[in-house]
Amino acid sequence: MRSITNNLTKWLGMLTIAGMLFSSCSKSNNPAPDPKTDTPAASGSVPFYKLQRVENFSAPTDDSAPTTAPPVLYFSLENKAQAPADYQKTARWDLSFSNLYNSFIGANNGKDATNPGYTANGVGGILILKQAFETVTDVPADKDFSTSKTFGTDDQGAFGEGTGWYLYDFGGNIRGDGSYNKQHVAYAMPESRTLVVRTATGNYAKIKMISCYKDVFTADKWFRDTPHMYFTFEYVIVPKGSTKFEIK
Amino acid sequence: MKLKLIPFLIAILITTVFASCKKTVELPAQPQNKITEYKVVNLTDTVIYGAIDQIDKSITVYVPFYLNLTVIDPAISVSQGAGIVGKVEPIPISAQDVKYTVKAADGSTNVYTLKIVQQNTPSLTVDWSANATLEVSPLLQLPPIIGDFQSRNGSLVQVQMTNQKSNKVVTFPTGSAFSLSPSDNLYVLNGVILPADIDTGSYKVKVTYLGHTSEITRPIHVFFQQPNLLIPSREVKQGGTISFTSFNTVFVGFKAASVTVNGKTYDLPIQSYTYTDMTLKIPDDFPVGVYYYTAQYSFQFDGWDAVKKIGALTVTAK
Repeated sequence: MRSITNNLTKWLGMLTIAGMLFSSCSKSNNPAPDPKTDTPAASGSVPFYKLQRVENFSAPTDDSAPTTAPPVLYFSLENKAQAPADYQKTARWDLSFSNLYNSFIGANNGKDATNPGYTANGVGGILILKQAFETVTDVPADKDFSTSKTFGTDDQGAFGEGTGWYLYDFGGNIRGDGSYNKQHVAYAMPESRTLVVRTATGNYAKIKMISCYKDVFTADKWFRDTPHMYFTFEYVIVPKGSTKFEIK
Repeated sequence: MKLKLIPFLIAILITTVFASCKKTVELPAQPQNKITEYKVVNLTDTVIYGAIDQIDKSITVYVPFYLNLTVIDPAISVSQGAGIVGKVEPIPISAQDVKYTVKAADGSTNVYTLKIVQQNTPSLTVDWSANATLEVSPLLQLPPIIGDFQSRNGSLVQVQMTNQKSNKVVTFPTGSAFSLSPSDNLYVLNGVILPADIDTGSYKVKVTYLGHTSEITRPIHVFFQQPNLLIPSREVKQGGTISFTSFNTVFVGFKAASVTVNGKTYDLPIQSYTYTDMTLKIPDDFPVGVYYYTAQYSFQFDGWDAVKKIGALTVTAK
């Protein structure tokens, strides 16, 4: 009789424990992990594969002090807008316009000590091709992009610094007719130059520089007194990892 | 009797166990309007995570001085289906009033306050660099200032100059294009360019950086020097105006200007002038012509030597 009672006590104990375990296990009182939505740091508003045109992106100039480097200007291709100078150390811009008349164009890279974006998270680079915009179809290899170079005056004109996107006609007799009004004209060369940029976030863009004069986009309307510097350019962005520039 | 009771008790226990197994406790739905992650991304190969307090709805970001940040660019994650109201923009590290509103899909909102804590250097001591000449003129740079800045972030430096006679203060705010470069165990501050309109006299200089202020014991003397200007080529109609800009000096006591062409001198009446610019009138009867680096200008300043320059001037008919 005592042994039966003892056995029953053991069973009761075991069943109670099991019951507690089952009941605790089954209760759904653990809240589900909080799912989330990411808000990217530098989300661009410009769609991929669509041709964009920027007209008269303005850089204040001082013709009385032509050799004094003005403050650097920043432009976001991803947002198709100027970026404030305060954003220099961010990935919120893709092009820098610096040096002589803000005419030298560079990219945003945080790892290059010579780059304005040094120490920030930009991964950009830039190169220039001796091709017309329409004929540039392949995205160049990453190793070909420079993180330190800027491109401005071309060797075909005065004060050339290698291959550039414009020709400076000092005397007015390279592209002009030698007249006074055609002296000191800067000729963009869309027919034979295309800038290719890796943006601060790693996408790719090809850029056709069209003019640096206000509201006029063809060489016949560019004169020494035409208001400048007002950059007009077209570009298209393709996503990171692309091998082709396509316009859809 | 006892033996009959035992199976009954076992049956009750088993029933209880099964009943407990089926039990579900309904909890109130969690509001989906939270910031779940906040990180500063404008750094090379790293990020700074903000500490999110879901009780008092705050985000605290600690910014060490050695990262040389002037703005923080955040990447923010929120609950599924929610979004931040408005654009998420970079923020100056001195900002104190930034708030983020998270709006859930059901329309409920949460407002978070951002607290930026700058982790700064313990102190600041500054002085003029060794052998500095403590004299400077408007539009020129102050001599180098040496101090324990411990970083290269010149844009966070504020400089104040106080005229010892008039107590007039000239402030160079943070964000100016100052440079800080290492020199042994200290750093050298350069690029503090005096404004054109600063008064002459003796000035005390105070430097503020990362919450510390230090005054340099030895004052600096501001003085005017011989005015000078550049003469770029100019094209103008008879009766029109031409302008010139000062070169590393300011125009003080400007009283007359003239130009000599073909052996004849013409007065150029002053239309206006500032410390850095002058506008002069070309007389109506000025001879039309191209004076390619043959126009001999003369500028008279009260108390200074006359400035004589040769330039290119083209004058066309009215």
